Amino acid sequence: MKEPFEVRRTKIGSGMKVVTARRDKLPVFYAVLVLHGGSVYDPPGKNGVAELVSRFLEKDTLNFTRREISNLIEGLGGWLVSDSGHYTQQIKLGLISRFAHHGLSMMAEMVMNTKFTQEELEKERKKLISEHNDELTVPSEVLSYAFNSAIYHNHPLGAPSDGVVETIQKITLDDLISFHRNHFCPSNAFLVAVSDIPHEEVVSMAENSFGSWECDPKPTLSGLPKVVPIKGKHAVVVDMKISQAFIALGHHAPMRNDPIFNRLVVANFAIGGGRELSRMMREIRIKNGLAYSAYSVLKGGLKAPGVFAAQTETKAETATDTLKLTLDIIRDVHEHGITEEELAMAKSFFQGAIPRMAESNKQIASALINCELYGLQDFYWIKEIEEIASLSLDDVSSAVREHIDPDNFVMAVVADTEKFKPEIHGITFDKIRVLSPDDFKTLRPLED
Amino acid sequence: MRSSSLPAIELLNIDEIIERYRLDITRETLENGLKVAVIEDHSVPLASVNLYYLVGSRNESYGKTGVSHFLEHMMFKGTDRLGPEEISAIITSWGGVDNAATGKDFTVYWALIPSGRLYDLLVMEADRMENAKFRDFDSEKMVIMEERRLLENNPYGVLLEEMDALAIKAHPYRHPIIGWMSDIEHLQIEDLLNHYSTYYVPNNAYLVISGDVEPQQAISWVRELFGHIPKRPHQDVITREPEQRGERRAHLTGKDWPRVWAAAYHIPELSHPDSVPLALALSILSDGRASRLHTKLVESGLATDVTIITEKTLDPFIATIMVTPSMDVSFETIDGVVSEELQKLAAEGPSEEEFIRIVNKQTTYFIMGQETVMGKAQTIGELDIMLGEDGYLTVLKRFSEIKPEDIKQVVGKYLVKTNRSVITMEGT
Repeated sequence: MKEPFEVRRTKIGSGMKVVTARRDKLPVFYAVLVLHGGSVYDPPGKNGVAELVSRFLEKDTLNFTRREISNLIEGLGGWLVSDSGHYTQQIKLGLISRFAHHGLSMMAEMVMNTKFTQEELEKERKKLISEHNDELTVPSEVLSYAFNSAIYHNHPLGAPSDGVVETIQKITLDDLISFHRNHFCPSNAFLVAVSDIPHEEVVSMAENSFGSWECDPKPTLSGLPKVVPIKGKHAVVVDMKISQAFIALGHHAPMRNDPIFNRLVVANFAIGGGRELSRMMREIRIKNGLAYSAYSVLKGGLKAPGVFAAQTETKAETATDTLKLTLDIIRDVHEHGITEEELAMAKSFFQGAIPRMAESNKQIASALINCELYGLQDFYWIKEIEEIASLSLDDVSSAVREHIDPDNFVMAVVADTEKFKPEIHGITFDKIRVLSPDDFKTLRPLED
Repeated sequence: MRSSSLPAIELLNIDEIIERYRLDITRETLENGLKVAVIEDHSVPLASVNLYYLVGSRNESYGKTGVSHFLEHMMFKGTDRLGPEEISAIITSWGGVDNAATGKDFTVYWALIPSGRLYDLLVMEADRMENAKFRDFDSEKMVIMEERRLLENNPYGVLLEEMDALAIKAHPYRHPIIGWMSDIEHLQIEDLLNHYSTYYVPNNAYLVISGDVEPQQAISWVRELFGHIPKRPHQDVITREPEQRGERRAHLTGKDWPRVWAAAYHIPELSHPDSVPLALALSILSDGRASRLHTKLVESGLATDVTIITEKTLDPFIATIMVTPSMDVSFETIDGVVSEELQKLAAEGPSEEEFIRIVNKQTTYFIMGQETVMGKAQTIGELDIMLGEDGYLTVLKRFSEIKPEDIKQVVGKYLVKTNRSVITMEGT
C-alpha cells in the first residue's frame, strides 16, 4: 500500500503533541486543537458545563476582545470556531497557509487566556436554554433526545452534549472555571494540522503559540460509570402533533478499536448503510414506498459502547408496518447473516471509496483525530479496507450473531399518539414509556 | 488589552489569485447543443460528473408544481437496459456516490466516482437522457409525499415555503420545489413524460466533468455517447415579478412551533450588476461572528441565531433574514434592531475593516472551493449557468472592482421596508 502523504508527530516543550500531514495541493491550512474531556466529564447534575466553556472560548479573552479576534481571523479570510462534544472539545481553524501563524496564535489565546464573567454566563445560559426549547419543536431533534436517553439511560452519553434545561440552570461560574482548569492543559491536548507547510515549520509555529502553556495540577479525567446493557425490548414514544412517525431503533455496538468492528461495518452496509444496495432502502423505500429515508448507522464506542441504529420516517398510519419490516431485516441478518452478493458489493464499495476518504484537508484532519482518539493506525481507512477485503461470510455471520440483536433493543418514536400505537404483530415490549417533548428538559426523562 | 499588537489586515490581491488559481478548463459544444466543460485535476484518482438540466420549479405552473422534482426521482427508475435504482446501485458498487437535486433553475445529477469508471458512467447518463423508463410510479409518488410531509413537519421548512408564497406574487419561484401536496397527488405519468421530452434534451443541458481525466478523451467519449441525441426547442419562462408596492406581513402559528422572525427582500438575479455588491452587503450583515447582525442580535443575547438565506438564481428572487429571538425578546425588538442596522449600512456604508474582511473571505472561499474535484465541478457548473462561460472569473473580477460606496447604494435600494415581506411565527 502506498501511503498518500506523510504523517509526523512531535511533542513540543509544553507537552502538547503536534500531528501533521503535509500536502502540496493548495496553500490551505486546516488545524484542530483537540482537548480530551467533553460533556461526559461534566460535573454530576451540571450537564452543559463543557458546552458553556467551549462558548466562552469564542468570547473576549484576557488580552483581546472577541471582535478583535474575529476581525483578524475573518479579515484574513479564515475562520476559528470552538465546538464541544461528548468526549472532546475542539477548536477548528481554516485559512490561507501564509496566515497560519496568526491563526495558531489566536487559537492559543482562546484556550490559554480564556476570560469567564458572570454577565457572559447569564447571556449564554439564556441563549442555550432558548436553543434547547427550539430544538424540542423539531421532530428529528426530539427523536435524537429520545433515542439517546433510551439507549444510554442515566449514563452521561444519554444526555445531549450541551446539557438539558434543568442542568443548564444550575451551572455556576465556578463550575466553568474549574472545568477549564482541569481540562485545558497541554498534556491533555493535541494539535492536528493538514497543509502544505513542512512539519518543522508547523511545530515551530505551535511552539511559539503554545510553548508557554502551563497548567497545574495535571488533569485527571475521572472514570465513567458503566453503561447498563439493554435487556429486552423497550419503547419510548414522544407525543407530537405531526403527520409522520420519526423512528430510531437499535442497541449498543462494540468499541471502535475492537477487531470485530469492521465485520459489523460490512453487516451494516447490507442492513441500511449501503444506500440502494441495502435491505432497508430496498424494502422500505424502493419496493413499498413507505419512506423517503431508510438507513442504519454504526458508530464505534470510545470509552463506552457505541451504537447501532436503524432510522426512518413514515406517515403515522404506516409506522407499524415500517417498524415490522425493519425488525424483520435485522432478525434475518442476525439469524442468516448476509448474502454472498452483499459481501461482494460491500468489499467493492469500500475498495472503490478509498480515494474519497481523504481528499480534503478537513477529511484528513478528521482521520488523524480518529487515530489519536481511538488508537487507530495511520491510514487506517486504507488498512481496514484491506482487512474487509479478506473477510468471509462466516466472519460476518459470527459477528452479527453476537452483535446485531433483534430481541434486545430500544425503539424511540416521535409521533402523534392518537394515530400511532407501538403495537407490532409478534413483538411484545417489556416497557413502553409515553413522553412529551418537555420531558427532555430534565436530565432523567425515563426515570420512574 | 494588547490590541495594538494585532497585525493590520490588507486586501488580498485578487488579480494575483485569479492568475495563480485559474482553473484549467477545456470546453466544447456538440452540434446538438450539449455544452461540456472538463476541469483537469490529477491530485486524486476521482472524477466528479455533474449533469445539469436547465429545468426546475421556475418552469412549473399551477396544478403541476413539483413536476421537475418528481421527474428527478423517476430518472432513477432505469432505462431499457437498466432496472429501477440500478444506476445508483452500480455507482455504489464502484465505491462512488451519486444523487440528484432539483432547484429553482436547474436539476443536477451528480456522481463522484473512481476516475477509471468515467466512460461507464457517461454511458448510463447518456442512456437516461434519451431512454428513461418511468417504472414504479405509484410507489415513488408515495415516497415523494413522505418527503413533502418531512418538510411540513419542520416548522422552519414551513416558514420558508410560506415566505416564497408571500413575497413572490407572479413568478413561479413562489411555488415550493417539491410541489404542493395536492399537485403531487394529481400528477400523472404523462405530465412527467411531457416534462422529460421538453426539457431533458442536449440543448438544455450542461455537462461538467472534473478530476483525474484527460480532457480530449473525455470530450470524445461525450461526443460518442451523447452526440446522436437530437435537440428539441423549448420555451423559456416569460413571467417577471412585478415591483412590490409596500410591506407584506403574515403571522404563522402551530402546535409547539418555535418563535421566529423573518423578513424577505426582493433581490436581483445573479447576472445583474447589483448582485455582487448585494452579496457582499449580506455577508457584512450575517457572515461570521464579526458580522453586524450577529454582533447586535446574538452576542448581545437578544437572539440565539441569525442567518440570511438566499440563492443564486436566473431571475430575481428574495434574501430572507431569519432570526430566532431569545425567550423574552419581542418580535418588535428584533425588527427594530434589524431595521436600524440596515438603515445604518445604507447611510454610512461598510467600514474599511468590514470591506476588507468580506472581500478577503469571499476570495478565500474561492481558493478553498478548489480542494475537491466535486467542489470545482459545482462552482463551474452553477456559475457558468448563471453568468456564462467562466462565470467564476466574472465574480472574482467584480470583487476587485467593487467600492464600499457600491455596497451602501445597494443596501439603500433593496433592503428597505417597502421591498420586504415579514413573517412572524410562534407556537400555540
